[in-house]
Amino acid sequence: MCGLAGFIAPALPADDAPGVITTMLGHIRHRGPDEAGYYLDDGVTMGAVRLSIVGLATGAQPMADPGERYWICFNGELYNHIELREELRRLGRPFRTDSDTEVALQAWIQWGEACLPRFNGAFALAIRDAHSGDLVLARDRYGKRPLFYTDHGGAFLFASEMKAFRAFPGFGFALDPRELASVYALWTPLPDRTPFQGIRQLPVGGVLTVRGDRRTLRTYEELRVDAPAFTGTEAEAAAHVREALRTSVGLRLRSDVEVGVYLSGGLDSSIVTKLATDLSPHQVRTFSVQFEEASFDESDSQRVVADHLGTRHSAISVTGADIAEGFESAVYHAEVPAFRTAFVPMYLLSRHVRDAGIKTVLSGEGADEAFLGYSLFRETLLRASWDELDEDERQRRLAGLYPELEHFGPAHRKHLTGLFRQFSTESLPGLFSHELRYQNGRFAVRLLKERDEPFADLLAMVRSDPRYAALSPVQKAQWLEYKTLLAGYLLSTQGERMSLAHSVENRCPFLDPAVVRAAASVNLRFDDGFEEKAILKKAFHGELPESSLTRPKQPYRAPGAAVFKKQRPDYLELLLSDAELDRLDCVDPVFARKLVNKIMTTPDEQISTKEDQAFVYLLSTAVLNQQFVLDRERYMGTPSAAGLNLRTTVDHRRARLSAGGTR
Amino acid sequence: MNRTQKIQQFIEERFLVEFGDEVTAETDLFKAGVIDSFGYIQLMSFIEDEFALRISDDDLLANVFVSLADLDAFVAGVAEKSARAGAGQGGVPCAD
Repeated sequence: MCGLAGFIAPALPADDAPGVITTMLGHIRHRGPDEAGYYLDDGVTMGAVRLSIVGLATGAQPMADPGERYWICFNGELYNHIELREELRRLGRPFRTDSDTEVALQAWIQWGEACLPRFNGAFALAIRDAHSGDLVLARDRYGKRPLFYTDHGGAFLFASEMKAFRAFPGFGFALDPRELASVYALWTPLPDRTPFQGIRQLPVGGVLTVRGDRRTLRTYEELRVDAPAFTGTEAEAAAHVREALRTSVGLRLRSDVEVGVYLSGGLDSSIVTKLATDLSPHQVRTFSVQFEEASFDESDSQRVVADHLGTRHSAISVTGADIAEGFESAVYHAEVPAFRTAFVPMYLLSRHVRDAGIKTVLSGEGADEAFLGYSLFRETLLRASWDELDEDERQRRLAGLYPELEHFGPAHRKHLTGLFRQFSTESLPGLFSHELRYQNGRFAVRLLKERDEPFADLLAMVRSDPRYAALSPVQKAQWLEYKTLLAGYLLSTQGERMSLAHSVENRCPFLDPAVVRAAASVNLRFDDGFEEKAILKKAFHGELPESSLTRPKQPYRAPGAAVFKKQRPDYLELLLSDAELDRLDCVDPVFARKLVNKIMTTPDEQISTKEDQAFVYLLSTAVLNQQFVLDRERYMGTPSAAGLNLRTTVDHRRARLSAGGTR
Repeated sequence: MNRTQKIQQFIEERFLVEFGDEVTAETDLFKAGVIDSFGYIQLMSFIEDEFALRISDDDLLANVFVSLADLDAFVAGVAEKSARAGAGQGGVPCAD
C-alpha cells in the first residue's frame, strides 16, 4: 500500500523536477510514511511513498528490472503474488526482492497489458518504459485504489490523491458545476470524474498509455454481474460460496505485518472475522466504531461476535462532537463532497487502528453488492414485479424494505403503496432500479446555479456497455452499484481515503474476483431475492452466533445535520455567513440559504433524509472549496517535502542535464 | 386563502420550492425531486388535518397524488362528495 505521483512536463526546468516531485509526495505522505523515492528521466518524473507490508526490507520504490528499462511505482497489493511469482520464475523471469511490486513489474515485462486481468489485488500503478518512452497507468478492476490525472500548461500530472497536484507550479483547483450536479444526484462522481475542473480519474479496470502527446485509454476488464447459474444443490452452492470466501480471506492474510479486521457487527464483517480466526495462527484483533446514539450503535452485536470468535476486540466510541471535529480533516482526505457523515467515524477508526500498531485490516465491503444485501435490490424486485403481486403481498414486502426508517412503519404504509406503484414503471431509461434514489437526488442538485440534466452522463455510460440492456432489473441495480457507489464512495471516501489518511491499508475479501463470480452464479438461484444474502447466511449457518444470521440488516449510518446544529463548529460559518456562502461560486445562494435556514430552525425529526443529505453536501462542498480553491495555505499547509523518508532517488536525465542543465 | 393556495403554500414552505416556470401545478413532484416518501407522508397528513378529512385506504391505493393539481382535485372531489352525500367511499370527513 502506497501512494504515487508524477508528471511529464517538457517545459519544467530540469533542476526543478526533484523539488516538485518530492513536494507532490509530501502531500500524500500519509499513504506511505515508511519510505519514499523518485525516478527521473528526460521524459517523465515519478515517485512513490511506501507503506511497507510485503517485502519489508526490499520493496523500495521506484523499482526497476535488472536492465533498468522498466520502472514501476506501485500502489497496492497483489494477493496472488506468490502464485504469479512461481509462474514467472518458471518462465525465466529473474527476481531480486520478495516484494509484490517486483511481481507486478515482471508480470508486465512478461505479458504486457495482459498481466492486468491476472492480478488478484487492489492496485494502481505507473510503469515507465525508458526505451519506448511510454508511460502506462492502470487501476484495479473494482476501483479500490485511486489514480487521478490532469493536464496543466502543457504538462501531464498524475497522482493517487489530487492534493498532490498542488505542488506543481501554477496549478490551481476549481470546482466543476457539471460534475457537482452528478455527485449530488448520484451520491458519487462517475467512475472517471472528479468534482474539480479538468481532473479525471482513471476508470475502474482502466489502463492509460501516454506516448508523447498521444493518449490511449482502454478498459482491460469489464464488470460482469451475470454468470451461468450454479448447477448444484443449495447445499453445494453454500459450500461453493464458503470455499471461495475462505480462499479469499487466506490470500488477504498474506502479509509481513499483522492483519486486523474491521468488525461492524453485521453479517459480512462477522464472516470475514470468522474466516480470519480460522486461518490466522494468532489471535485476531478486531476493531469497531460505536455510537452514543442508540439508533446508530451496533456495539452489542460486535461484542457477541468478538466473544463468540475469541478475538481481541477494541472499539472507539464516536460522539456527535467527534464527528463535528473530524469532519474537515475527513473531507480533506476524501477530496469530494459527501452526502452523509458516515465516513468521519471511519476516519477516526483508522486512527485508532494505527495507534494500536496495525497497518492492515480486512473489511466486509463488497458483500452487499455481490450478495444482494441492500434494500435497494429488494425494492427493485418489488417494483419490477408490482403488477404480478396482490395487494397483501405488496404490503408485506414493503414492510420489510426499510425497517430503520420510521415512515416505513405500519402507520404510513398505505401512503407508500401509491408512491411505489408510481415508480413501478421506468421513467429514466435504463435506470429503473435507482429511480427513487436518483429522483430524490434532484433536490440537492437544486443547490447549484447550473444544473443540466444530471443523469445524462450516467445514461451514456450504461449505454456504452453492450451487455447492460440485456441484464435483469436486479443485475442492472448491481451493475450501477458496482460502477458508481461502491468505487466512488464506499471504497474510496468511506474506505481507502479514510484508512490511508492514517496509513492503514484495507483489504476486501468480498471483492475477490472468484467470490464475485460465485455470488453472481448463486444469487436468485436459491432464494426469491427478498431475503437479503440468503445463500451467504446458509453458507455460515452454525458458525456464527444465531443473532448474526437472523437479525435484520442495519445499514451503517451516522448522525448528519443534527450534529452540526448542536455542535456549531467554526466552519459552520461557511454556510451561516452570507459573505462566505457567496464565495461558493457554483452554488445558488437563494436556495442554499433557504435550505440552511430550514435545517437550522426545524426540529431534527422533521428534517427529511434528502434535506439532511443536501445540507451535508453543501457543508462538505463549502469546506472543500475553502481547502482546495480558496484558503489553500491555511488548510493544506505550505508545500513541503519535510518528513519524507527519501531512500531512492534515481536521476536518468541525460539530454537536458548534459546540455548544461537546460532550463 | 383558498384551498389551492393553502396546499401550494404548504408545499412551497415545507419543500423549499416555488411554483412558477420550473415547477408548475402539473409537475410530478416526485420526479422533480421536490418530495420524497417522507415528504409525501407529511403532505398527506397536512391534507387530512387542514381540510378535516381522512383519506381512505382505498383512495391511497387507488391514487397517487404526484402534483399540486392532483392533490387539489382530490380535495375538491372529497369536499363535493361529502357535501352531496356525507360519508362515502372516497376520502371521508373526519368525525373527530
